[in-house]
Amino acid sequence: MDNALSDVVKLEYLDPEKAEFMLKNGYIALKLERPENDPAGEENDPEGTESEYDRVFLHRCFPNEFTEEYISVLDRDGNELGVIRSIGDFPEAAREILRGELRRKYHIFTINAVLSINEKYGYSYWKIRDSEGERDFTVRDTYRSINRIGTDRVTVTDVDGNRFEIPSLAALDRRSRRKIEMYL
Amino acid sequence: MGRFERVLKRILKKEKRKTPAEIRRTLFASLPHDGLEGTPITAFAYNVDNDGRRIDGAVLITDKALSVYADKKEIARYVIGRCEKFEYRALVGACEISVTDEGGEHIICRGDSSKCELFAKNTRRLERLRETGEYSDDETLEVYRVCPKCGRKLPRGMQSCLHCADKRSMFKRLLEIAKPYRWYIFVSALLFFVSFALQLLGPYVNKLLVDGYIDSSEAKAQAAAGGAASGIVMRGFLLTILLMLGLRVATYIITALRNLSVMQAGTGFIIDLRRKVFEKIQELSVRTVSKRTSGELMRRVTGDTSHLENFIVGQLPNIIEQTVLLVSITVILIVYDPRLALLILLPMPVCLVGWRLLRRFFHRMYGKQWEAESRTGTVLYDIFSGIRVVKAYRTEKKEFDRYDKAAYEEKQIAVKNETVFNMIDPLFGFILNLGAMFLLYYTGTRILSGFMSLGDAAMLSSYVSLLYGHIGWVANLPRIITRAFTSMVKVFDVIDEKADVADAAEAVDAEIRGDIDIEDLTFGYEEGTDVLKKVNLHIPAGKMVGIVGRSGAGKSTLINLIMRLYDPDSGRILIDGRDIKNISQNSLRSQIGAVLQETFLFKGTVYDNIAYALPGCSRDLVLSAAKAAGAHDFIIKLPDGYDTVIGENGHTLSGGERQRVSIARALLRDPRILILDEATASLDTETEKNIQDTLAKLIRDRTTIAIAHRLSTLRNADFLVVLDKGTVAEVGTHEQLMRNKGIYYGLVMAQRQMSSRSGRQNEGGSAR
Repeated sequence: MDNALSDVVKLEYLDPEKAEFMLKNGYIALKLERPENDPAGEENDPEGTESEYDRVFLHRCFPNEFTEEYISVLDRDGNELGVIRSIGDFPEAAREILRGELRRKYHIFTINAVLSINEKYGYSYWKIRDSEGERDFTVRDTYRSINRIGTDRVTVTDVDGNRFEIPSLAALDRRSRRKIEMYL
Repeated sequence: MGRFERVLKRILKKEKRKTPAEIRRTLFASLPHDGLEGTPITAFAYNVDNDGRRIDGAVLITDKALSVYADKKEIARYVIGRCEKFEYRALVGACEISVTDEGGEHIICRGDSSKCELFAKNTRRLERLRETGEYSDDETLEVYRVCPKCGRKLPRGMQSCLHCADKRSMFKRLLEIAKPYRWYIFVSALLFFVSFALQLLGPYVNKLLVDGYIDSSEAKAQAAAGGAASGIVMRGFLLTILLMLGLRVATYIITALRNLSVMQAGTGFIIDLRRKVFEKIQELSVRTVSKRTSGELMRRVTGDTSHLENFIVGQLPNIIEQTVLLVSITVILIVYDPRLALLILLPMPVCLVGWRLLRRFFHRMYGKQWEAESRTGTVLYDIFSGIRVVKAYRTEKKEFDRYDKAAYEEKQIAVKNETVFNMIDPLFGFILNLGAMFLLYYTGTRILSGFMSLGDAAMLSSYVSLLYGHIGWVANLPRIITRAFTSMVKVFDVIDEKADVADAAEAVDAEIRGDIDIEDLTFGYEEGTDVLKKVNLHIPAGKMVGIVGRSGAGKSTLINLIMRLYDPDSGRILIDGRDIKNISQNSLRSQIGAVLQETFLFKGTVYDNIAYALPGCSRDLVLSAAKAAGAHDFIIKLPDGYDTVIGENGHTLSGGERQRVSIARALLRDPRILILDEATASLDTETEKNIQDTLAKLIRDRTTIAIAHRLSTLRNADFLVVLDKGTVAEVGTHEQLMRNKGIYYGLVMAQRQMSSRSGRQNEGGSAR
């Protein structure tokens, strides 16, 4: 269906040729060559302007579905500078920087194995193994803190607000799966 | 958990009685900080490095500098005087503190979400230190929300650790609440013992009947002689049967009486408890209450207390009764014949262990079913409450499919569960029956060899069936008790919560004039995200001030603080030169009339809703308030006038009507300070103007704070305050602000443009 909406409002995607990401003091900076045509088509600037942002912020538009696509880039004041359609479109160096920044922003523990889940007094106490070893956490209101994404992915939020993810239930060992199964 | 945290926890655990200063010293001693200038203030741990890996990090703060450690090695040092800004930032599942100096923005430390509060507090402290050189004493350690007893993490919103909660002392407190009902409890206990005795007596009378009359030698002899039973035997026989009947009747009466008295005690007790919980929740600040969802609060007031009620009225008597019964039957059996007792009791442990194991399994099965049921319920609720949207988009088919799918899933799970249950449950019956078989074999051989009478056999089998009847229930006992304890702990958690917006000790009832002074006010609903930043404002008594600004600029937050629904994080609010913390909340709020954005009306009549502000006032007063608010005219047109019931299941008022009712409510109070938060936003301009004119007369000499997006609403204001991103951006009269051509000017121009554009369109429309 031809939607008139896209004629009126244009989402601005960042052009890998015109947006250069770099690291500054461990944070991500952006040099952006403004598009020559204003999307609204009212004020055309034939030159195009180049702006530098010493710190930009990345937000995943669909954190559950796309980890490397649809990433909104904001400046310090929260104005959107553009959207990265896919990190894969950017050169290797930029890709690494972007991925690093996303890893920093979205701090998620990956559960490789569920060692035990004990429920007592309405809270459940979990012992899991992630890439760095064993870890304990406490979950309140267990059923509600577990979020199923699709059929195979599961996220758990603990009392502190930390997030834990099981990327694939099917890939989990049988013991772990049985332990978590009753809460799904 | 990092090593540093473990050390900290050990310190916390071991040295609970030490002062913060002493704990601080211990912390500093564990980190090398040679040459770090200034007096040490605090230290805190962080746990994630720049690449998101786990790390043992610490930050040490003195009044002059801060030093960052990773694995006990210093990795960075900053002189606070040379820093431009410290910032706390919440990420997703993590948080960080950064510093900006001449070299740009640097990261100081990162942590997972458990560190958020700690980081936010310390960032605030660093900022204060940087700006003023002052620092507050150490409260950092409190935010390690770990139970000092067992080291378990304390769930947010809980004051006490569920594991370590002293259950015995809680039980004592429960008993204290139950004190008024002690006579009922005493009577219940008495009746309990009578009913045990009666129950145990039953099988014995049975034995008398069989041995004495049915199977007695006299009866046999008479039967052998071919004659009818003699009169004496017959009379004894009938008497025994009557005795049995009497026993049944007595058991019935006693049980009924007992249940009645337990219920009397239990319900009274639970209502008292519920009242206590509700009273406490009312006392707590908006901040504390909104930490929990209203659903959770409902659960605490009704759910947890009714679990307790069920336990005390329904299960506790049962537990006592069954336990005593089981124990006494076992004793009787053992006394009667230890070998027999062994045989009968043999299958019981097997069943108990089996049941315990299966309980988890059943729990999981039925948990799933319960979830599926509630999912179907949610789907239905969703569809019904959004029925207008469903109809508007013609998505009935899709919604039906959604329901169908949920219902199908529910059915699948239920069928599976029932199948498994029905396969397993009879198995236990079978195992227990094995015990009965043993009994039959044993008693049979004993009778045949003449060691046992038929009556004894009958009595034993009655006892055994009493025993076996309740064995399944014993397996369930731990769950029942755990659940009751959980509820008890949760209920006391609410009762024990400290009210954080509490009246100061020196708080007084004060008559206020309405002169408001706001000094350096900083506040955020959540740690680290300040909604208001260093707001300074003076509102002279009797003036009307209009507050404008974009959505989310902090307008409503400001008035929430003036009403003291929250306490500021820093800075203060003075009314007539007195900090509002020193004015009792009762007297403060009774002199503030507020019409808030959300016009909440209670279920009740229109009249009751207006009179809510001033219970017991005269009807004339209510009518005048309604008239002033422009509500009177529409109310009298309702068929039931002021007696119209509104709220759930009642008459539905439109948005504008609701607003007028709540304005009337605020005016009735004759407040010294009137707060209008978008009070007339749902009204048409005509009605708004009428109400405004009345209000203008009424609010003379009253301090009025009005928030409005529609700027024409504020034309009567003495001056305007423009809030932008939590700070006061502009202050002045309409004319002054228009001349400044700042934010306010922009807002006015934008609105003018809009209205002239829509005006043109309207003209065009009417011309056609």
